[in-house]
Amino acid sequence: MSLNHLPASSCRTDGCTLTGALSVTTQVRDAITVVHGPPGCTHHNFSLLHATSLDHDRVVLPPLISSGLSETEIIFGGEGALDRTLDRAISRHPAAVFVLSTCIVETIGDDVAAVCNAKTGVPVIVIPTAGFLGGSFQTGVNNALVALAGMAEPSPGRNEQVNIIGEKNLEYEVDENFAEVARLLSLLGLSINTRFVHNLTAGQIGSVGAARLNVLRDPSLVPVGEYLKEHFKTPYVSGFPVGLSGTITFLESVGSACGIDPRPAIEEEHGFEQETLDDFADIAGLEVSFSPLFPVQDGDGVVRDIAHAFRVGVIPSGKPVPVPVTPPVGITGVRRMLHRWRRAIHA
Amino acid sequence: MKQIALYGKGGIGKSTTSANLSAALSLSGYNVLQIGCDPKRDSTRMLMQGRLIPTVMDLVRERGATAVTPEDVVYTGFNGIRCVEAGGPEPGVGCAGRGIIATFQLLEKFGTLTGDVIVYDVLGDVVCGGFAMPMREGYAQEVYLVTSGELMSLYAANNICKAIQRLSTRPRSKCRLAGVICNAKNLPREEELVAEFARRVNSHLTEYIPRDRTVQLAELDRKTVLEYDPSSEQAQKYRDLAARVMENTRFTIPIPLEIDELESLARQFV
Amino acid sequence: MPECGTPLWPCAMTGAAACLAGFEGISVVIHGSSGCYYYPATLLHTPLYGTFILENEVIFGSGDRLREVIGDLSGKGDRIAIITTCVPSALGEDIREMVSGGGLIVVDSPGFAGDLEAGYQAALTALGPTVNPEQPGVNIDGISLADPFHEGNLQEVSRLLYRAGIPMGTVFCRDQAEKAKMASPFTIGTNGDFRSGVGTYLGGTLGIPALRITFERLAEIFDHADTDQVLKELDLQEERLIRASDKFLQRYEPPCVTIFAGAAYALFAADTLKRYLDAEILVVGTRNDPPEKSGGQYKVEKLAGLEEVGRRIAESDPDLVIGSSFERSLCPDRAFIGIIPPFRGQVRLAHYPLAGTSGSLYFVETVLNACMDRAP
Repeated sequence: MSLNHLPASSCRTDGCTLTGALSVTTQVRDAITVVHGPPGCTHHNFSLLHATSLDHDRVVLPPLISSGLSETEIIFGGEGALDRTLDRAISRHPAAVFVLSTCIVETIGDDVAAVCNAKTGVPVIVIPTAGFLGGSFQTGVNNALVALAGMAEPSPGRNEQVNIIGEKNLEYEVDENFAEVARLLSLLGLSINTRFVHNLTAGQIGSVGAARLNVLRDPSLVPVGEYLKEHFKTPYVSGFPVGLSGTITFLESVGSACGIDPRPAIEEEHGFEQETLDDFADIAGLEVSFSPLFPVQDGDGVVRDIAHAFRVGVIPSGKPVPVPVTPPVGITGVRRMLHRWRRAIHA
Repeated sequence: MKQIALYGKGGIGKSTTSANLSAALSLSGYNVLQIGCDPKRDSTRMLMQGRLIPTVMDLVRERGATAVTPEDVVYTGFNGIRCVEAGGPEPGVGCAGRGIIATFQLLEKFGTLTGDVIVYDVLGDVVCGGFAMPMREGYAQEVYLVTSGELMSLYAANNICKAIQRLSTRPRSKCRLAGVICNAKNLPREEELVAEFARRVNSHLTEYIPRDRTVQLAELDRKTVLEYDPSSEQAQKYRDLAARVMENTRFTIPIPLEIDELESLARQFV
Repeated sequence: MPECGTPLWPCAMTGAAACLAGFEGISVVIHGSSGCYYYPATLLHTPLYGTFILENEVIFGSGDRLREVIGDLSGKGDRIAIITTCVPSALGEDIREMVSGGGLIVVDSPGFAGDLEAGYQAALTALGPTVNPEQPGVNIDGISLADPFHEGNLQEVSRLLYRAGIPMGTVFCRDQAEKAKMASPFTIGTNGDFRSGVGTYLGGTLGIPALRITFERLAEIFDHADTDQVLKELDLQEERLIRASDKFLQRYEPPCVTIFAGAAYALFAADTLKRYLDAEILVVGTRNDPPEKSGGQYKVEKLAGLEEVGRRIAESDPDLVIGSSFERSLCPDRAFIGIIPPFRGQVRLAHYPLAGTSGSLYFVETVLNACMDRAP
């Protein structure tokens, strides 16, 4: 077995539910998230979220506090500390309080739900996390989204807009990816209802049930899509447009789900595709190899298809080019990736 | 659906009492589920002809949580009683409490927690939060303490009262002490002692079960008394216990005693 | 433990990793989940290993998994150091009993046991450094991988020792693993929050007055040393410092300053600004526990949470805030310099010190520039 310090078995590295859930709950600007556990868990995630928000050119100090457990509470139980921390959070009059637990707290058996259920005045919502005991990073994301969807009211009517569900808030290009999807939707005459959950207030969550369609970030969000379908009868499309053919398929799926003829939009997008093929004709015939900085999610199939479309060969001895962690979103995403390839090829 | 938990000092006969109680309830026509919450995993053995059924935790460890089905963890024993064993680690390693929590989460997911009566048979010394899991909201509302007249087992029962008292302070908690079951060692004045103990902790003696050779013989034959010798006096005792449990309406918040109060109580009946 | 709101300082597990991962020849294994591993792995910029345990291993014991990971590492020939995180630590497993092998270092340093400094000390104790009385030279301590100034400090202090003709002993903690067992009998420090407790401590290197005292003591012990070279440098550089500060004071008011850092750097900053700029020190807030008899002239408070820090800044209305990017985010419109991590929104490639002569020069220069840029 290689001595690469990155572990071999992927399920051990699916990340922490806490980080996943926090990437969602801290996007609700007027709510406070309480992490029940030792201070380290909160600090690590606070630091990560702070760094990510600066990367997104927003100076945000995520509204996140810890119940600050020390060895004494681990031995004697932490429910009292959680109780006091909840009171502190509630005294700041947030729109809601989200409560997450850590692995150590779920090992010693603190009954977080019972402590939270005793609180009144402000919605206190428990999100099942439990660190690594509760699943993976994505489990945390999905549990948080479902819990927040529970705050939404059933909608009397349906508007003509679209929700974006489960954006990867820790992703560097999160806003650029959204912009691309919004652009494609506008080609079909559709506008955005809610980015669920990205930079919202608790009040804005209320209207998530009114949209006519949910666009999920990718298939890992399907449990959330199903929940929203069950509760609000909203259909969903299970992923962002990825790559070239994926963009066309996306327009078709959305068109079909909303009863809109996608052909004019597809024709326009084909034009954009052709323009892109022309713009990057200079890299045709060149050879590259993939050098991802991080393990690529869902394999590199989409990226290989793009290389193929631009007549770029992929061989082990090719010039190393960067591969994004998630497949490029829309033709705009493809262009951005190709710019990076062009820079790498000519370096 | 009635959910009851039996707690008591190790070795006091808790599992014997639970199994026999389940058997008596089942024979009275109730649909019964017994869940063993003890890493020793032997709670349901007398209901399964001496077989130690595979535990929930072992199955999850071997196959992964997604590959385990409800049918894998629920076994049907004597008179159709459904049996589940939580399992857990060997002594001196791991975290049994977390094992109990994980078991409950899985059983919830499987929708296993159904029936007329669920009997939780729980490890005697509540050493961490995980062992209080059966007493959480949505599970056992009625806790029976199983004890003999020996001071040490009364002490353990008294200790469990502290847990119940603490849990009862939660606004939505409905978990209460339902009664004390005396599993006798046939000490002199044992029934009086345990009855007085029960009264002093603000509860009552639900049933006095004498020590009887029939129980050992039944165990050796890998059966409950109800199955081994249904016409015996001991079998009738368990039927009485079952009836009392189903009729019981006296649920209280216990008042634990101090050790010196317990000692002087025990001395009264020596 | 009093609630700390939003904690601004890493936990004991990270401190233990920072200590041991500094030694070449030690493979550090974080015994816990992937969530725990990723934080020190990204903060310390050094290879770390992890057991990445799953729920089953919590319930049934983690011995098999631990042995599997240690087994994979045995080919490297390094000493193995295992740091237990919150859950394995609470399980109370006997790590030494589970894993065989000579030279095994086991540190029980879960997050709930304390902060960065506590973990660093626990790891040092487990490492058990020893002094070789024949070993020439002097050790340097206070070096922690979690401190962005550690490399700069090390380079600066080694330079000064070289100038003085004094050999360098062991660096705690950034050295070959074997050298921890043959440390010199004397030690000088770069950051008092990370003392090694090895040998006789001769003094620190933060601030020119402290440097002077330390090198005078070194002169007494090492007769062949040419400490005059260093003392001359100190005088010369301090003269420059004083001149620059004096020139600043010709035009500007002394700044009113709030300082947030580990205790050692916080006090260094306060003393330095008071001495050269006659600055008004409004708040000295430490992330860790301040030393008992600290900063006689100013009130030193432990301020480890975001809310408390924000409140103190607002109450004191300083001209200059010294701290980390968290402080900067709290008050982006005030003059700011960073002396504790994280440093975000700026690229830092060079290795700057806070210790030694260059450290004081760098620090004062940064303060003067920040104040002048922000002057009304």
